[in-house]
Amino acid sequence: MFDDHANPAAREPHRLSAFSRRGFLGGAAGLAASGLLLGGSRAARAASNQVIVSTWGGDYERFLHEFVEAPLRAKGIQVLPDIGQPPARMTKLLAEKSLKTGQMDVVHLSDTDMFQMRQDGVLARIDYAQVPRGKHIIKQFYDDYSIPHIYSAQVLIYNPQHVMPVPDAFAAMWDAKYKGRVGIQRTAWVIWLQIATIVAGGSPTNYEPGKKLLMELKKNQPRIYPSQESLADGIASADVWLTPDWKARGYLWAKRGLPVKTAVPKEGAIPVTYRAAYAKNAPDPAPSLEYLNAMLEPKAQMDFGEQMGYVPTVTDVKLPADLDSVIGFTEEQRSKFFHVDFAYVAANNNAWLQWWNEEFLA
Amino acid sequence: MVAFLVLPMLIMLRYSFNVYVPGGLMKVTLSLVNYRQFFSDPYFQHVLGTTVWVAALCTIVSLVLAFPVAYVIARADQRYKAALLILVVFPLLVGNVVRAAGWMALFGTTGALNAVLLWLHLLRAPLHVMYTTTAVIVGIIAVVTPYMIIALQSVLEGIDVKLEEAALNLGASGWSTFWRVTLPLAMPGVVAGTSLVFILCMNAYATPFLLGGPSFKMMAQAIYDQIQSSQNWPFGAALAFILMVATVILTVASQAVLSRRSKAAHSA
Repeated sequence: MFDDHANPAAREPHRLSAFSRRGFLGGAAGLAASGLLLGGSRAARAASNQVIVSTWGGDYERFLHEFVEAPLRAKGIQVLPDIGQPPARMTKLLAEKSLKTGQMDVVHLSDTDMFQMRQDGVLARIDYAQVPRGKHIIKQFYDDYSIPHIYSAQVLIYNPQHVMPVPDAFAAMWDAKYKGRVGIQRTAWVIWLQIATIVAGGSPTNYEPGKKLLMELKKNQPRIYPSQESLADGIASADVWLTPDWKARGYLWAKRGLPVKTAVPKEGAIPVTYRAAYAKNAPDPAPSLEYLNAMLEPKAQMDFGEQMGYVPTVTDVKLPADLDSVIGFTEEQRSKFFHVDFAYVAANNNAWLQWWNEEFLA
Repeated sequence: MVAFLVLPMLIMLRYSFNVYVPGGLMKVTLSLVNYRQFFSDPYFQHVLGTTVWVAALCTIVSLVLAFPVAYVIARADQRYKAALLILVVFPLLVGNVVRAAGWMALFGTTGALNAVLLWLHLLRAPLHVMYTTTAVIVGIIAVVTPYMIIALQSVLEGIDVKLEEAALNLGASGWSTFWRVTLPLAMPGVVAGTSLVFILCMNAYATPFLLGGPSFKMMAQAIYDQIQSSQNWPFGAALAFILMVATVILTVASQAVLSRRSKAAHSA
C-alpha cells in the first residue's frame, strides 16, 4: 500500500487483469452454485414434513419442545427451532416479504408485535378448518391471522421485605418512599407509557398524560436496566424493591428463589397474549397449521401454565385452584384490563422510542 | 464481494432515501428527510460524537497497552512465542456478550470488585461502576486490545533487533531508542492496528448496550433501535451510512497523518 515496488500488481499489470477474469468467473460460478443450493433447499423444504419455528429461546423454547412438539414428532413432522429476539424475527419477516419462499414457517410474537406484522402483510390468514382446536379459543383473544398461545398481564412485582403495606396500584411506584428502588427495563417503553397513562387518567388512544407523568417518575431516580435478566439481578440484590412485569414472570422469579410477590393493581392490569402465526411465504401451510393446532391442545396448555406461569387461552382448560390463585386473574380483574389499541401503538411506537431515548433516558 | 458486500450496501443506501410509514414499513421515494433528521437533531449528533470520542479513546489506550505486550512477544524466544500468542488470542474465543456478562459480575454493586475493595476496607460504600461510560470503555478496550497486539507484533518481529542495539550502543537512552528507532519502524503496524481497532470501536454494540447506562448510546445501538425496535428502516439505513462514512473519513485521515509521520521519520 505504501510501496508500489512491493505491489505485484504494479510490477506486472497484465497479471492483474488475468486475475480479475479468473476471479470474476470463479465468483460467478460460486454465485450460481449457491443459487442452485438455495433453490434446492427450498424445494426440499416444500417437499418434506418440516416446520421452522421462529421463537424465543430459554424456557419458552424448551417447553415448546417438550409439550407442543412431541406429538408432532410422533407424526413424523420435523420441527426446527430458529431462536432469537422478537425484533430479529420481525426484521427477518419483513426482509423476506418479497421472496417466494421465506426461511421461517411459524413465528411467535407478542400481540403488539403480531399486529404490526399483520399490518405489514407478512402473515397468512389462518384456515381454522385446519385448526380444529381453534373453536376453543377464548373469544376476546381470537384473531384471523394468529392464534393466542398463553396470556398474562403487567402487575406489580414487589419485595415484601421492603415494600409495606402491599401495594395495590401502579401509582405506588411514584411514592417518594421508593426513591431509587423502582426498576425499569430499558426496552419496555411502551409498557411504561401504558402504566403512566393508566395512573395519569389517559386513554388507550391518548398516552400524552402518561408521558408527562413518566417525567415526574425521574425525580424518584428509578434504576434502569438493559434487560430482563439484569433487572432480576437488581431484585435479587435488593437494589430494586418494586417493578412492573408480567404476573407469570413474578411467578417464575419466586420459583427461582427471588424475594418477590405479585399484586394486581386496582387501576387495571395490562394484558398480553403471546401468539403464533405462520408466514405468508411459508412453502407448505399444512405442517404450520398442525403446529398451531398442537399449541392449543389441552395438555400442552396446562403444562405451559404449570411450568411458565402463563394462563391458557382456551375455554376447555381450567387451572387447578392453587395455581390459578397465583397466576390467574379473577373475572373482575379481567374486566378492568387496560384495552390496548394496537393500531395506536403501531402508529406511535417510533415517535415514543425517540421520546424515550431523548427525553426520559437522557 | 460485489454480491455479498456492495449490493446489500447499495440496497441499504437506497432505503435511506425512502420515508418511514408507521405500521407500513416505508414509502418508496427519493427524500433527504432521514439525513435532515439526523443533522437537525442534537440527540443523534451527540450519539455520533460519543461514538467517535469513545472509539478514539479506546484506540489510543489499547495502543498504549498493546505495544509493550506486542514487543515482548516479538522479542520472545521461539519456544514461548506460540504460547504467548495463544494467550493473547484466547479472550477472542469468548463472545462479546459472554464477556460483557463477566464484566457485569465484576463491576456490579455486589460484584467481585466491590466485594474485594470493601473487604480490604478501601471503600466504605460500593463503587458505582456498572452502567457507566467507564464500564463501557474498559469493556471495549478488553475486546479490542488482542487485535492491536496481533497487528503490532507481526510488524515488530520484522524490526531487526540490531538496529535497537546499535542505537543503545551509540548512547541513546531506552526511551530515545524507542521513540526514534523502534516506533517509526513499527508505524505500519501502528497504522494497521489503530485502523482495525478504531473501526471495531466505532461499530461496538453488545458492550455499550450491556455495560452503558440508560442514557449512554453509541451509533450501533441507535441503528438497532431504529431498524429492529421500531422498524424504521429508512432512518436506520441513513444512520448506518452516516456511521460508515464517518468511520471511513476518520480512518483514512488518521492513516494519512500517521503515514506522513512515518515517512518523515524514515527520511530523517
